[in-house]
Amino acid sequence: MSREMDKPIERDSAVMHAEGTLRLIASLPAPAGIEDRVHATLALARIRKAGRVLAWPAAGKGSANAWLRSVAAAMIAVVVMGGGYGVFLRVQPWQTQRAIPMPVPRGPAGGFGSAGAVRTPQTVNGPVLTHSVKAQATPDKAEKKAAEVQIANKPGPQKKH
Amino acid sequence: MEIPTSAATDEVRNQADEATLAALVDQYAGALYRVAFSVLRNPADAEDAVQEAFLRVFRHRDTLDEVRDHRVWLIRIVWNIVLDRKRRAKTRPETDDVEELARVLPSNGLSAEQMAAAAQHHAHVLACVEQLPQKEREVLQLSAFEELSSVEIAAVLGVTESSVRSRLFRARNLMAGLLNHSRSQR
Repeated sequence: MSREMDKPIERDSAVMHAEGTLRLIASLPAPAGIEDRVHATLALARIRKAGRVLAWPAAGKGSANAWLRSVAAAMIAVVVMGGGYGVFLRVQPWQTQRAIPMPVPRGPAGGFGSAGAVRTPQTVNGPVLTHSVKAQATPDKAEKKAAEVQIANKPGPQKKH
Repeated sequence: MEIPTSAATDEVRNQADEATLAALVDQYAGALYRVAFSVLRNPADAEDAVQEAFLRVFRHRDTLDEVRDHRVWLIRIVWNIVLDRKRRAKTRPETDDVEELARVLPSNGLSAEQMAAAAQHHAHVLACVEQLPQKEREVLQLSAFEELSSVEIAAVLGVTESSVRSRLFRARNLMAGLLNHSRSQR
């Protein structure tokens, strides 16, 4: 009986203990200087906002700035149109007549000449031997000489005088 | 007497807004950090959340006059930011939480072993809290802030006070079940 009675108390104490953990975490102090860092971030955001060109949203708040916006818009329009007209004056269609003609190519086909160079094709590599071949009986110099002497000494058809 | 132009009025209003914002930073940055830390449990992330909250306030500073309770309003902003961040962040392993808690929690003259055991216990409790349904978990986490009444918690969460109470009741019951279950498994 008493055990059953204890159960809810035990359970509640466990939950309270657990909530103590949450409270402990919730009560941890903030790091020092967090306010300064937030102030610095806000100052940076302020600078970025102020650096915006013309700051149209801010100018649109007051009706007194309406004429200023109109004047600024008109000035921008004048500058753009003036620039366009300047470009139009400098680049006119009849200026193409002053164009320098391209030199006529001298060669028959144009481009560079061969300057008499003859193209020599690369020598094709010969077959590669995979196994040794018996040396053929190629007459060496001494044999060749002996053969020539033999031919010279051989009695040929005698010339008739 | 010279009548001020609208531009001058705007300037005066801007300066007043800036002054109010600066006062809010000085007064509530710490509290917002604690709220952010209770959910994110990372000092750098918590501070980022506070900065983001005040940047949002800065963008809408012309509406500061319309806010009735600045404290609750700011807590609501930072609460939404941290929930959004937590949703997007990947789940960290439990060991990270234990190490972080051991580093952050006050030692109070405990030995290293006792500190480690306490951190382990806190991490276990937090793991149980994470298992709670979102609505119940949020109420339980906010109720840990002693400076927040149930009415203010209701205002932060955008619900009625009675639903805060019922959610808190459910959260405690579920928490007891989870703790009992984990104890019986050990």
